[in-house]
Amino acid sequence: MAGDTSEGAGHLLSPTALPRRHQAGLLGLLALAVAPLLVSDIDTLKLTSALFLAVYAMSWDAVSGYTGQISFGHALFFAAGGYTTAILNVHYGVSPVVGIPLGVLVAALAGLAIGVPALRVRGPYLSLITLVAPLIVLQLFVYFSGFTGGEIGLLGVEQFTPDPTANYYIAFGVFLFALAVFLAVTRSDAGSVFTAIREDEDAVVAAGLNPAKFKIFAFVLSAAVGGFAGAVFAHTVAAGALTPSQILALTVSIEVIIAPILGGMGTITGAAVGGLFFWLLRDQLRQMETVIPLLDVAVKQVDLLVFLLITLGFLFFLPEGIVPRLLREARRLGSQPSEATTTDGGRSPLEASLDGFRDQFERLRGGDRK
Amino acid sequence: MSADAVDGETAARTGTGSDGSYGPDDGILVLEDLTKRFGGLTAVDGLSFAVEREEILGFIGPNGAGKSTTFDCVIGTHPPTSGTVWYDGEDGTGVPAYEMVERGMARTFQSFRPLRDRNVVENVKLGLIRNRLFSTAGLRRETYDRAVALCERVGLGDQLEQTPDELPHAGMLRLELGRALATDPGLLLIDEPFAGLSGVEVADVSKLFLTLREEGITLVVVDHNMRGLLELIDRAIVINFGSKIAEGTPAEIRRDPTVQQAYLGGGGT
Amino acid sequence: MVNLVNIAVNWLLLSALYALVAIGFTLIFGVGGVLNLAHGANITIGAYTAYLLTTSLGASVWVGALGALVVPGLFSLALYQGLVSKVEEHPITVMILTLVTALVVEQVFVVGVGTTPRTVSSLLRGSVTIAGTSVRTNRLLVFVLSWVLIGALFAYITRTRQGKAILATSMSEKGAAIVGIDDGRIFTLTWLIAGMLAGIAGLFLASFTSAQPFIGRSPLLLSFSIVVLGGIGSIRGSVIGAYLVGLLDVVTVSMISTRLSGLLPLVVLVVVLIVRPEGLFGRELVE
Repeated sequence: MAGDTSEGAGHLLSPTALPRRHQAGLLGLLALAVAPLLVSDIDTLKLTSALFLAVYAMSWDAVSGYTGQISFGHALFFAAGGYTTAILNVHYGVSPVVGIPLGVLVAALAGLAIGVPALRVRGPYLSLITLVAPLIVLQLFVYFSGFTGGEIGLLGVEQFTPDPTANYYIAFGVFLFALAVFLAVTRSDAGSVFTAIREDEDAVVAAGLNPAKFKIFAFVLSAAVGGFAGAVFAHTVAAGALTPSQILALTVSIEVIIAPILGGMGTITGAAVGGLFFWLLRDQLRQMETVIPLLDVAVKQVDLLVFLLITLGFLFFLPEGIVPRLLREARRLGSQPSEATTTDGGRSPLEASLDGFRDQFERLRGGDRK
Repeated sequence: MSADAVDGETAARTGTGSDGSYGPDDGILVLEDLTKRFGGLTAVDGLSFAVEREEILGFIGPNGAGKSTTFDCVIGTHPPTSGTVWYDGEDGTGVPAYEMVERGMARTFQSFRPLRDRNVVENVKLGLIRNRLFSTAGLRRETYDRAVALCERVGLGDQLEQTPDELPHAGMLRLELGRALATDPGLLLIDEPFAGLSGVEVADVSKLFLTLREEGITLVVVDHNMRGLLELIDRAIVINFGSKIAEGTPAEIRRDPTVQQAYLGGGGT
Repeated sequence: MVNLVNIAVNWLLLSALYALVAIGFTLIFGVGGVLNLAHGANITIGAYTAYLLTTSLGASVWVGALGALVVPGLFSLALYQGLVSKVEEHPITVMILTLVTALVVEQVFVVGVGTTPRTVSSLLRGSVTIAGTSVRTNRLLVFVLSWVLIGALFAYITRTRQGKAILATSMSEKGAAIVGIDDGRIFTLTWLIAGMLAGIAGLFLASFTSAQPFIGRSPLLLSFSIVVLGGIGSIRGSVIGAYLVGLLDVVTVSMISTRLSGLLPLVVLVVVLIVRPEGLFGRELVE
């Protein structure tokens, strides 16, 4: 929906008048809303985790998919939120009601700490810094494990309630909130500026807009919402123990890159879908009993490897993402005319990001390449 | 407002700042002793001139004369090494480009740079967005309508939904103008608009420029080959090697031996 | 009290290994224009190839060393030809693809061989005495071999036709094309060399630590810091950077805590990128 032209104020009128993709989205939300009533407790727990991943993925998409500043270490923000409230709770007895907002604040500051230097550093170098920052923090965490719980994790974090259904709806609330915030920002004028920054920063300047302001805003917003999710996570899914592997490790940062790319970068909704799909796929593989021929081993024994290979396949063969591809196919089969996630004939957000990244790369290398 | 009618006025101002220096109120845009050095290279060398309100000024010089660099310093892309830029009476030296645009100065790019991920009307809309983080999405309809009006103003009313890839060369120029006009400028710096246009298109675009001037916008048009330009402009500044070598009406410029020698090679337009 | 000779030996030795890894990384970046996040996988493959050849097939250590040179080189080559070259127009896709590939390689070894560290035989046995301290001969040999390789690479780049072509391409692709240098072949060659160097470094490293699936991670991270500090595309920068970063890390580990290994180089990376992105010997950034 990056190229969503004006639909006027009347687009909230009646569900049947909405474009098909909006209808599909509403159905999806409805399904999510009633899910716990239809599935087992274990599956509810799983969906809860999947929802958090979806929120993390949306937060990544909001800055990296939209402004083109590709972050390879978004886990830093989730952990900033989660660990702030967890540490305050465990060591100082601070209630989550206070801890969570503080977590959001710390995460927002982390967003600033990354966003400001990011102005000076472009393209791949920016990504390198974002890759490395959480690794530094993680190592310090392990070093000061007395305080942070190190690799084993911080134990004794207060949980709102052990009830899986209640936890699910808390997560769903966070999901809806994040979805609303990100959709509001990206569909507003700020969103147009974000994508313009990704396309051509000079054009943004020529329009009388300060790109630095918007770039930092994107980072801080993304970090704050991601940190909020991380903070709530600490008091729900973490089930009393917050470990780095859930929220700070490199794998988390990688997951929140792959999920939006799979689902469709630069759309927010694609990130949400990608996050859910990704988590559920991973979970399916963890349980699959099917034996792989020749190797004589069950899928679930090598689930991570299989999952990574599938991801590689997706990245290679379906780079624009699932949601945009589905929309294109639906458009071809159905009758709705201009419903592309990209404006007709225009470039997709992924392409734009990649091209912009490549241009910065070429300039950095000082060469006169391609 | 042809060149001859203001001949008497401009005659007094021919030549480098005859009374010595320029001040902030000498025009909507005033450069005083503007210099820009890149390492050992001096691209702009003590350039001084004033742009009168609501005139159409030609900024002429051969390739490499320093025209684009001057633009860059004026609009704030690069701060000058020394000298002063006044816009609308206020000091604008070294002010960042986006802020100069907010103050009312806009420019078009010689190599058209539209945003390729959106259509014409969305491109123009970008210029209408205010430099604020939070703006109500509900204003979109009004902004959209204003963008459509702007497109019609520059002659793109029939191509609203097209993407820049689908526009012909002249259409891209109009899009550049539309985006610049969206920022509600008082001064428009136009970089080499006539390159690649046919005679008819040049005439059309010139008419558009005259209309804009009638609406109160001052225009500074840069070109290096004067084709079509001399009929359009009221006055011209000619520079070479970063310095002003002549100033005056088109008629005076044509006759000026320094100009002819510098690059016209003895021929006129 | 800390044994200074040991620290010095460690420093000289490890830095040479890191240099081998960093050179490959910086060449790929400088020539191919992409950050190969799977570069660490070459190290892992090198270590395990030697291990498998010597234990499962009973080959001699020198055959193992040859394997550690060749197999990662071929892997690197295949990675470029099969995956990266298709998307090299988009450096970020390359980063993501190579990152996932790196994880795949790790998992292959986790699944195929297991996470238990495996001993890789040293190339030479015994020890010598230096300045009153006993140093394993293997370490000396590795040090000498590393420098021989660095020297050989340097000679190759500056004296042979292909080597000079690599250098030319890293400076200006257009200029190189005008002179008739074939891009594709140069890129392939660069990836091959990088793979070989990192592979043998992997064997060396494993011969005095051990082979485990994640052995490639920390050298890769250190490479980031080394390459950024030394400057992209600069071999000289990689070597000097390796010794600087190596010194920093060895001192940290010996004097403060082993658990802080690798931390300071990462901090250096961030600082250099913000303050002076071209590093010591990198090209001036063209804006």
